[in-house]
Order: sequence, then C-alpha cells, then structure tokens
Amino acid sequence: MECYYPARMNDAALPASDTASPQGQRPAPGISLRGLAKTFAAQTAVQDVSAEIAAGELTVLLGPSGCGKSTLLRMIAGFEAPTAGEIYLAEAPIAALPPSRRDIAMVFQSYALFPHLTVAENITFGLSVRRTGKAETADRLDRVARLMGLETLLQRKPAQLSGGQQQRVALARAVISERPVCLMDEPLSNLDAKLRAEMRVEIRALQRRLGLTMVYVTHDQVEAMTMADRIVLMNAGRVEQAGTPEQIYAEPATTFAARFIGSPPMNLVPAEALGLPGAAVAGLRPEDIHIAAEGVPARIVSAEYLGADLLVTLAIGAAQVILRQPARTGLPAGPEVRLAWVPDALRLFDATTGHAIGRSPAV
Amino acid sequence: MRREWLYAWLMLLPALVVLATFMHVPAIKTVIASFYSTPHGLRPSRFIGLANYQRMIADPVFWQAMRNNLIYAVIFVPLSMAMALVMALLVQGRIVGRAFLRMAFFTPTVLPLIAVANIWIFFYTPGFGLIAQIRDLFGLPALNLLGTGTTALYAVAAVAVWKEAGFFIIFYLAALQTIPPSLVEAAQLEGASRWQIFRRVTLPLIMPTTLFISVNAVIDAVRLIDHIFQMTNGGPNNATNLLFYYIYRVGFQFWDTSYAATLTVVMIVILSLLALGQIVLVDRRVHYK
Repeated sequence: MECYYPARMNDAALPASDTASPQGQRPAPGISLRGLAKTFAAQTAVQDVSAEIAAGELTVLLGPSGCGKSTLLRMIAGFEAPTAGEIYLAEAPIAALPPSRRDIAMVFQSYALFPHLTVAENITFGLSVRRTGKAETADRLDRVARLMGLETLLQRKPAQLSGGQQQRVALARAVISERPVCLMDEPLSNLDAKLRAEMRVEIRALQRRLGLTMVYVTHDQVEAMTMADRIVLMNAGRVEQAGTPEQIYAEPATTFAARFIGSPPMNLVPAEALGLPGAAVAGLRPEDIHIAAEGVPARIVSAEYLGADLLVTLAIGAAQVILRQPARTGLPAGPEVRLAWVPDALRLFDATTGHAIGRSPAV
Repeated sequence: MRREWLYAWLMLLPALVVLATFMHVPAIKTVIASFYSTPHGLRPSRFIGLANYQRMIADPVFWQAMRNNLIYAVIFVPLSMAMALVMALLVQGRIVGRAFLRMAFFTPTVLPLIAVANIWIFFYTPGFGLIAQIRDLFGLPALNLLGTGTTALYAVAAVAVWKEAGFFIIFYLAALQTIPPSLVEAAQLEGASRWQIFRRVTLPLIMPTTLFISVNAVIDAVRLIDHIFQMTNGGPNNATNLLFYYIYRVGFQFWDTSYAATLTVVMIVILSLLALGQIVLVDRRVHYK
C-alpha cells in the first residue's frame, strides 16, 4: 500500500502523550455468552452457544461460511435479537439493550464508511450525534488520527482512499468512541494478501496497546492463528472447540477441528491403516510424519515443492496421507517407503461421533 | 476510416430521422412561427418581428396563467416530493402488508390523469361529493371547491400531487435500496436517533435522486394539465388557467397558431432555465457515488 508504515503501531514511534491509552481509564470488560440461539424463519443459524470472551483479549470466532459466526457477532452488537440465551457484558445482561447502549464499537466487513462525509467527519460521526463538545472532538480526532496514521487524509472522501486506508478509517471510528469492546466482522476480507498480513499485525498491536476486548470474526485460519488469544471454532451453528491457537492445533477436539486448522490439514486415516488396534480414526499432522527405515509401508503418490518444505502425498493401502518435510532432505529413489511418526503427536477420534478419544478436549 | 464514418452515420440515421421529424424540425419551426403572423383565409402569414411577444407582454390572461402556474408549481413540486419520500420510507422497511401498501401508493400513477380527474370530481362535487358529505357530517357549510375562484387552483393542484407522488415513490424506493444496511447499523451503533440517521445518512445519500425528481417535478408542474380539461376548463374566470392549457386554447380553440408558438417558445425557455438552474445550483451539493 502507498503509505503504510508498520512502525506507526510501535509504542516507541509515538509521542509520549499518545501512549496513555484512552481505554486505560476504563478496564475492558469480558463478554459471556450463555446458551445463545438464533433461529430465522427458514433455518437455525446459531444453537446453544456458550463461550467466555476474556477481558482485554482478542477472541476470534472462526469457522466456514454459514457457520453462524457473523450472526453471533451481530447478536453481541445488538443487530439481531437472540431467540434464546443471554449475553453478559461484565456480568450485566445486555441482550435486551439497543446497540447504542451496549458500550460496544464495531468494524464492519464493508467498513460502512459514510460516502458523503470526509474522513474526519466519518471518524467523529458518533461524537457529533452524541453532541460531544467541539474542543474535545478535535482533541480526540487529532489523537486518533495520529494513532492510525490518517493525519494527511482527514479531508478526503472515502472513495478517494485505498482499501487499507478505508480499513484504517473504520478502525479509527471504533477507537475514537473509547468503547472498551470492539467487534470486527471479517475486517480484512476486502484487502489483498500483502495488505492483509500488514493489517493483521496492526490490528493486533492496536488491541494490545489499548487493552481492548476484541471479538474478531473470520473464516481465515491464518488470521485466527496469528492474532488470537483464544479461538472459538464454530461449525453448523455450534461451538466445535474453544481454546488457545496452540490448544486447538495440538489437541483438536473433533475431526472437524482437526481438518479445519492447519494447511495442509491434519491427516485423518482409519487406525488400522497405521497398524493400530480398534475402529478409531487416527489423526497426524503432516509435519509429525517422516520417512524412516522402519514403519508402516507406504507408496509415494506425488510431491509438491514449496521452497523450504516438500509436501509428499503417500498412499497407505486405500488411505492417503500428506507429510511435510524439509525440502533439502530429498526423497528416496523408489516409490515404496516406510513411515514413522512422533508417538506423542498421534490423536485418536471416535469413528462415529468424530470426538477426540483419550484426551479431554481443551475447552 | 471513411467507411467507418459512413457506417456510423447509417446506423444513426433511423433515430436521427425520427428525432428530426418529430422534435428538432417542429421545434425550430415553432421558433420561426413565433416571428410570423397567423395565416388567415385571404391573408397569408407574414414576418412581424417581435409583435407576438409584445402582444404577449400586454396579454393579461398570459400573466394570469403564469401566476397560476407559479402557485401550482410551488404547491405541486415540494408537496409531491415530500409525500413520495415519506411514503417510500414507510414502505421500504419490513412491515406487514408492504406489498399491498406499495401497490396502493402506486395505483394513482397507473391511472390516466383523465380518470384521476373523474375520481376527484366525485370528491369535490358540491352537495353529494365525498368532501361535501364529510363537511356535512360536522355541520360545516357547503363549499364548491372547483367552482370558487379562490380555491379552484388548489383543488386541481391537489389532484396532480395525488397522481405524481405515487410515481416519484418508485425513484425514492430504488434510491433507498442502494443504501447499504451496514451504514444505518453503523449509525445506530453510534447512538444516532432515527431522525439523525435520516437527516445525516439517508437524505444526503438520496440527493442525486432528489435532484432528478425535482427536475421532473418542475417539468410536470407545467406539463400536467389533462385534469383541467375535465374539471374546470381553466375557470372559473381563468382561476385554473395554466400556461400549457392556455397554449392549447390559443392554438387549437382560437386557432391563433403564431401566438401559440410564441407562448410555447417562452414556456420552453422557462423550463430549460429552471432545469439548468436546478442542476447547476444543486449539483455542487449532491454526493454521487
């Protein structure tokens, strides 16, 4: 992007007056979702969702499209009324309150900038409808504009900004409200890959700096893994698993979680294919398998060169697995090889329910 | 290169012929006719310069028609636009009976103005019309709205408002649907009231449509005279004589075609200036996407 400076979000790069975050005066509350459900006329979007969103943390609602994560976010914001359940903000029930009285800011997927207003007017829209004084408005605008690197763009209209700049204005509008909770609905989906990576870092830094409680909706597991303190993984309107990125990656609670996180995802094969007893499904991350002198016989089907890594597709009987190895290790001459794996890395799932066996799912 | 030009002109020719025959040539002939006298049996038409225009300036009926038309427009333009906007806002949301309401609002547009005039004659008829009956119910004295010089113009303006507001709704509905719901939600989240959302988000975003409708409404304020034929014939005592209606009377009842051409030229000049003024004046304050 034309004028992007990662250093902006660095505390060291900012004047001392800026580091006293406005949110510092008000500790960010946590959000508690209890038994939330939403049924539309035709279908159930969210059913029986309970989750804790810790104060001052970045919680990502992750899931494929149509899993109910956006509906959940809109219920927290107050744009959808839950069919059942309650939302607590710092122990106070808020499900019956209108959006404006929930003390929550939101960044929309489309940014929802007012096209007829300048950047400055967009950012101060909320202050002006709440009749904040002129001096205070100017003061806060100045502070937020510097924080977000928008000083030189304040008189432009949204149409004259790049996607990343628009995103930044949308963020600034949320920040200037000084509300301690910020909801984000797929905020990076309209940006190109490079900008997305930059904004990930920037949003995360902003959240940490201001101590915001942030709920971030995305279908992109990379965003979730890199940004989240905690991930709430959703599927078909339910919470599949909630935990830190490490927990969900290492200890997927279900086969869905195992397949959704990781690229390529966890290999899931019948346990007997790996020579294990029982009718379970065995799960192994690609990087936990390696070609060895001893082990399960397999045949190399194909190999995909990624520079640093090599993704090797292998057939074990009827099942297929992918392993990841450093590319410089190379492959043996023949197609017939033997596979071994890190014993600790093996996960077992119930073949019918898909739930993890043996270990309690980390929730 | 030559051939391409040839093809281009050939392609444009049919449209050009139609436009020229029915618009450009008559328009120019009208302007020319306004400088000539009206031919009569033995006296052929001859060049008389600005005599027709001088006659017009001295014509009290012309000035009366101009004044009537101004009042008619001042009532019709803002009222029909405001009603259209209010009705569009009413039926844009998810409300019970939305389809029925939309149809009800739009029905007057489908009806020919002549038919609309007939309906309103029933409303206005002294003695047994709807308005007379309602007034009777409250013990109010009888009133001949169309037959009284002071009320007739307002009575016919009301008919035009009723008819055209339903038409303008369509444009407002279309414009309202282009406003992303997230803009309204963002404003709600900031604590904006419904009035603030309307005033600061909705209204500015539908300004291009408002400008378009206002140009059309001004033209309609001159053009919509069908109901005058049915209801008042310009009376009583020229109280509802509008410019366009007067042109018709001069041209096709008195057969003073040159003078009618003169009046037409004046009408077109006024309309063009108004449209131009609106666009130049308002355009600067309109936000286009």
